[in-house]
Amino acid sequence: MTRWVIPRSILNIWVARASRMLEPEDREALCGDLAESGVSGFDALCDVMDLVIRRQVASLREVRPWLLLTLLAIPLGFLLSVISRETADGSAIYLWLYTDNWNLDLARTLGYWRALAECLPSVYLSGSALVCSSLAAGLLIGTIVRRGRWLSTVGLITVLLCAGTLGVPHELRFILTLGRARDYSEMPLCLPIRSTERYIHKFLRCSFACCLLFMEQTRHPSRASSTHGSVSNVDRIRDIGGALVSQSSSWWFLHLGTNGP
Amino acid sequence: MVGEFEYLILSAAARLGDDAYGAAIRREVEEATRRRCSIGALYTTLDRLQNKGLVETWMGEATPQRGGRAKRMVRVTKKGAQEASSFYRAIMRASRSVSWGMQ
Repeated sequence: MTRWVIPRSILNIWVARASRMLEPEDREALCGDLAESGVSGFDALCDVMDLVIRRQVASLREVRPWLLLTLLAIPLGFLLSVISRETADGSAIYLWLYTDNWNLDLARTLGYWRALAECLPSVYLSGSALVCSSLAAGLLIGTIVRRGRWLSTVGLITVLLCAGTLGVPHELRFILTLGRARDYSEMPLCLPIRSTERYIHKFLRCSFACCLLFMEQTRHPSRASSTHGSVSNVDRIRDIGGALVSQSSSWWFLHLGTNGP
Repeated sequence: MVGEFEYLILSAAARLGDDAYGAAIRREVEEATRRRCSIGALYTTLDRLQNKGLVETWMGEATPQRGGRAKRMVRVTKKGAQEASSFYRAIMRASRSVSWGMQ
């Protein structure tokens, strides 16, 4: 019978990955203890997973993770589901129109490229808003929920999948998107600034910026040292988010400049 | 009253004094019981003891043999010492005039 042996180096990478599920202080103490005891490989992985599971189970006995799941993760899951669905609906139509009908004759016409150039900023903006929404939701949950983060993550993904598959009731869509559905019915689509772009701009300018500001304010000074990988990752993601916001905003203004009233 | 494993940790921490931290307590417990001590059980029990006010913990200094990682230092509080002493007396009372023998 062949015995599968996983190389120790790979196991140590898994240990490092698994230890990221722990709080920074726990990770520091546990990794130090393992290094001092000379435990590595499979035994170290078992030790880390043992503590991770115990911590997660212990966090389920507290009220806070369940409260945050109900008040934060589930509403955010519904909101992201609505945004992603509408982004997919809007972008899918444009992309399908241009890719499915594409041929060499069409590519030679100036109108094709002009129409494509007109729709691309909108697709780009809605895609950027979706990316920013997802980043903001993930970072918000990660910042507020320290213990029991996995419960919120699983809750968010479950809601996303269920709401994405089964759909969201119209009333809930209206509340979550702040009357966006009404904007659609009241505003004719031929207007240069459509409700979609108005919403996206509002989100990028206000909501996402507020989320980033909140996360900056709530960051604990003791966690600012670079010894903890999670903090540097948050910083990195925030930088990417900031770059996306500024880029998306400039695209929006560019789009407004060319098609503005 | 504290539990059996809690008592083992309290007595190991008390014996180690200022050198009481995760890995050292684990070694002491393993030597005393001659059984493997799970690091997960150790840290969750330490949390429980801390919540009960029986121990105090804080992050200590990092050392090269720990790969530059900090230690989680442990100190038994007065209440912790009283609880451990109470557990010990209870065990002694319960074991009075009992001879387990070496069967």
